[in-house]
Amino acid sequence: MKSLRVPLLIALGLLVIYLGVRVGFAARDLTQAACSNPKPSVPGWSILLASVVFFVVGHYTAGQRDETHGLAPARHWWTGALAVHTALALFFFLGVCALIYETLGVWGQTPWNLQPITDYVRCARKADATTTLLVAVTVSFFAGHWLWFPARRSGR
Amino acid sequence: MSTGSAGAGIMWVVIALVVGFGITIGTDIYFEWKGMESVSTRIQRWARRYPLYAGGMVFGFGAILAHFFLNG
Repeated sequence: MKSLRVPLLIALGLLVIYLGVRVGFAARDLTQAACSNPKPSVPGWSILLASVVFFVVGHYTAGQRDETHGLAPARHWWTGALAVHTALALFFFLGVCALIYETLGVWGQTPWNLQPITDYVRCARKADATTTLLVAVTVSFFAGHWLWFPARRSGR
Repeated sequence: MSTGSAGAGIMWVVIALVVGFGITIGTDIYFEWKGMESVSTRIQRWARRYPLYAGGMVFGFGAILAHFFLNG
């Protein structure tokens, strides 16, 4: 089933690039009025609900991929495990950096005049709620696809 | 918040997301192409070994989403 999985991943990669370009153009044309729009076209709770749904869908598609993966030989497993653990360590490190930045931004008493990431996300929702919804569900899909709390042991 | 800083900030957030997901998707494609275990299989094996960390990551992801979209 490799012939199906690889095009699926390439399509998802193209979707990420498309969303990145779309948000880039939207951010370039951002106006102050759009950023302070009091009535976004999509309410926050519906973005959150859609994100949860796509988180579950992402996990389901990962399960479908793995069910057909049993016949593939596990070659170079040590290199792959090292790469994944290194990537996870880097992910945690970058997450800590982002949270430090967010803390400094919320604190507000820094000489660098940092703005919290939260402000950027909320501004994006007020300016272009549809694009923000697309980005949120895409991120949630990948989070569910690659990460899931281990509620049961499947023997893999 | 000035408009320019908001636009630049959104750009940086999106660049971080696109680069992060791009690298992970590229790695996943490489694993699939070489017939190796997928990224999700490897991370879920890690999550079974360290359920507290995995639960913390999922909880943190949900808390950040709720903070972004429910409090504003």
